[in-house]
This record gives sequence, C-alpha cells and structure tokens, in this order.
Amino acid sequence: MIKINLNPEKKKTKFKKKGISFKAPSISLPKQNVIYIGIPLAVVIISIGYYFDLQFQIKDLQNKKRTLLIEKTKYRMAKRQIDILKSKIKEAEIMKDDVSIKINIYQKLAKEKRDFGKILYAISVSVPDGIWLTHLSIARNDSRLKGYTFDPQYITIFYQNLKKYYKDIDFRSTKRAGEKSLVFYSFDFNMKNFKRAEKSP
Amino acid sequence: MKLSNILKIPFLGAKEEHSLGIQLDKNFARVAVLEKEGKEFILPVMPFEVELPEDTEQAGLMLRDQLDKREIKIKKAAVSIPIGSTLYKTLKLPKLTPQELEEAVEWNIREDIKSLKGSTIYDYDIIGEDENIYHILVVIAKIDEIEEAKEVLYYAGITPEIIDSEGIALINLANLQKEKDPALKDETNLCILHLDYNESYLIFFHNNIFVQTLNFDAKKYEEVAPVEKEKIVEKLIKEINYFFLTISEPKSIFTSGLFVRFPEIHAYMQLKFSTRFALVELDPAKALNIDYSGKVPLSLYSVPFGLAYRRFEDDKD
Repeated sequence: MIKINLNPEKKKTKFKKKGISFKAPSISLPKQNVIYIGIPLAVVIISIGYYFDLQFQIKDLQNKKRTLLIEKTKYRMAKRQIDILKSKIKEAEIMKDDVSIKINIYQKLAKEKRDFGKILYAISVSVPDGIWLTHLSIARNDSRLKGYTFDPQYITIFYQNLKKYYKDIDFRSTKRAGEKSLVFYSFDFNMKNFKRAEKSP
Repeated sequence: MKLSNILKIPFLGAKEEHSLGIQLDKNFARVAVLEKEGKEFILPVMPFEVELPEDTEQAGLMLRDQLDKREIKIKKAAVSIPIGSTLYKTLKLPKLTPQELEEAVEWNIREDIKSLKGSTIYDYDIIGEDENIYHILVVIAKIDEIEEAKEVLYYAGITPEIIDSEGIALINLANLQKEKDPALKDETNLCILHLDYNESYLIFFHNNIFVQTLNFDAKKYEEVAPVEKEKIVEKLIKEINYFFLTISEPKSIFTSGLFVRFPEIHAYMQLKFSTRFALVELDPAKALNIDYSGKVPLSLYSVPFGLAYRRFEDDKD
C-alpha cells in the first residue's frame, strides 16, 4: 500500500527518531562517595522535571497553534467573503454605468422624438375649401406645402390659418398658371418654428 | 447497542471500527463508510455523491447536512484531492538510511517545487525496491489547495487524518483487487482508466507512475447523439493507444468512476481492444471482500473506498 499524507498537521517523518533511552543509574560506588551519586541523581531529577515542563509547554503551544489555525481559517473565509463582495460591488458599478448610459440614450431619444400629430392636425384644420395640396413634407424643423387654388384669396386664408401654428411662413412662390379660360394659382409655403403651445385635440 | 460499543474505552487507544473516505473535488464529493468486524469489511451506509457549491463554507455545511441525514457521526476521515492538484514524481535512490533518504528526496524534488508557484507540501513512500535501489514515489501538492480542502472539511466538522491524491487511493484499491483475483495476480503492471466529471485519466503503475489525462467531457457526452458518442469513445481509444506506444502494455486495465454510468463505453472499448486488453471493473466490493448484493455499482466510489480502506491500514502503524 502506498501511504501518502499531504496533511501538513499530520505529516510524519518517514524515519522514526530514536526515543530517549532512559537507563537507571547503577549504583556501584562506595557509600562514602554520596556526593557522586547525589549530583547525577539531582541532574536526572531536574532533567525529568524539565522534560515534563517542556511537554506541557509543547501541548500548550499545540493548542495555541490549533486555535490560531481555526482563526486563520475563519479570517481566510472572511477575506474570501470580502473579495466576493468587492467583485459584486464592481459588477454592480459596471451595471450602474451601463444603466446610466442607457438612460442617457433614452433621454436623448425622447428629446429627439417629435409629435407630428399636432402638425398634421394644424395643417388639416388650416386648409380651406378651394385649396388642393400636391405636396406635403413635414420635418423636425421645417415643413413644406405645395398646392393649387383657383382663387388667390384662398392662399391668403390658408396662410393666415397656418400663421396660428407657425411663427415663420415663407412664401417661396405663387404663380399664376393655366390658360385664359381656366386660370389657377400655385403656391409653395415653407414653414418654420411650429408653435408648440397651440392646442390640438 | 452492541456490548462491545458500551465497553469501548476510547482513551485507551481503541481503534475505530468505522472509517470514512471522502473524495473531494471542485464541485462534488463522494463519500464512503467502511466498517471492520474482525478482518471483514461491512458496508454500514450506502456510499453517496453530493454536489458542492463553490463557496467553501456552504460546501462544508452541505456535506455535513448529507452526513447528518445518514447519521454518519465519524469525525475523522481520509480525504483525497483531485489528481490535477498533485504532481507525481518517481525517484530511484540508493538504499540510504531513512534520514539520508528524506534529505535525498528533498534534494531531488527541489526543482519541481521551484517550478510550482506558491508554497507546496510533499510526501513520499517507497513503492518498490531492487537490490540496491529504492523506487520512491513523491507526491507534491500546493498548500493553497490543501487549505481549501481543509476549509470545506472544517465547516463539515471533519478532521482530515489523511489527505491523499485520488490517484493513489485508486492504485491502493486496484492493488488489493489484483491480489484477490487469480486472473490478475500475475500482472506486474497496474493500469487504471478513470472517467470523471472534472478530470479523466489513465494511471500506469509499476515501480513508476505515469498519469495521462484523457479528453473526456462527461456532461457533453451525456447530451450528444449516439453517433457523436461513438466518436468520443473512438478518441479515447486513440489516446489510450497513443499512451501505450512507449509503455509496455498490461494484459488488463481497471475501469473506474463514470464507467458505471456509461456501460456502453466499457462495452465499446472492450470490443475495440478485443483480446489486447481485458477491461476489469475496479469494484470495491471485490477488492475489500464486501458482502454486497445491491444494484448500485460501487465502482463509482472506488476513490472514497480506497481512502476508507487506507485509514484502517494507517491505524496499523
């Protein structure tokens, strides 16, 4: 059997250290040399005492080591949790940036958005009878109308009606067309600055 | 309650009759418990697999929960770390004194330790010997990965008595099965094919250890059509063939791990290898002489059983 143990706490050295072999001192000295017995005996007793003291210290240190290891594990866990939280905060910040970019885009789009319904309504209510339109173009800033009428008076009415809704109306051209028997007039309005405040249905 | 349990006096150094083996991987653990009665091994609890989250605390608590559900009270365990987390090195050293041997091992692996970033830990064992030479296996692992495994176990309330590499646990179990099977007894080379979720590999052992990782994705294999499955197994066979270009072939190869979930791989490989290799299921029941008649194949739990067995053997020292 292959015996591998990668646990740092349990890892044993592959060779066994020779244990402290303790031999009882043999007493063969004459009685008068008590001093020769007493000194080694005292040394042995002190050594034993010291050995046990060391053993207690080792045990104490091992307990401390274990406690510290547990503490270390706890701190490692806490550190990991903090790292996870940090990465989550980072992710949240990136998300926040994304969202704010999107909000800006939406706001810009909302600004760009134009309600052409009001303009269409304004034109439709402004067209008097006797005018027929041939061209209608509506843009953000300006609109253009082309058409015909038999009587130039209708162009004036039309102009006045439109003036309620537009600040600037530019007569590009009004031309008389047709023959003697059938005379009609063309017009070309270029309108700018739609009055937003003007009420529509 | 058994009388022997009542009379047991733990502080007199009574050996534990139960042994817990845990195969700990990145996202799962497999657990097996062995009970020893005399020389016989008994299965007191069915082995099980538990999926683990990435967080070590949650993983530990989840493992504890599963152990509690099965009323497993054993506090000490033999645990394995994935084979990818360990580095194997074999050395041939003269028969020195144990202390000299230890120094020689340290000297010989110093370059390998340098090549790995961060602190490492290693252990070694004599795996064979010739007249004047010891064949020594050294297993090196990163301290960080050992600490991570220990953290999971700490939260699971388990003390890891032994931390081994899962490949070694497989070799130990396969050796045991080889000794018990007359058809395999004379085989000098030991070869194990292990398929698993995170890592699949081929281990070759004979006075030396070679590990060849195999390109096998179990999750992908489960999802693909039968034609694709065949292609995946063909690739595995090619990798195995390639491996044996330079190494003397064994007569039989042990199969372990997910082979029990995909018996068709075993069957298809045997068909392709024909008489070249005999594929033998690495069965803990056979290796440990466990009287088991359950339907769940124990081969999936070869690693934890190998570890649980190892703990009993360690107690003999």
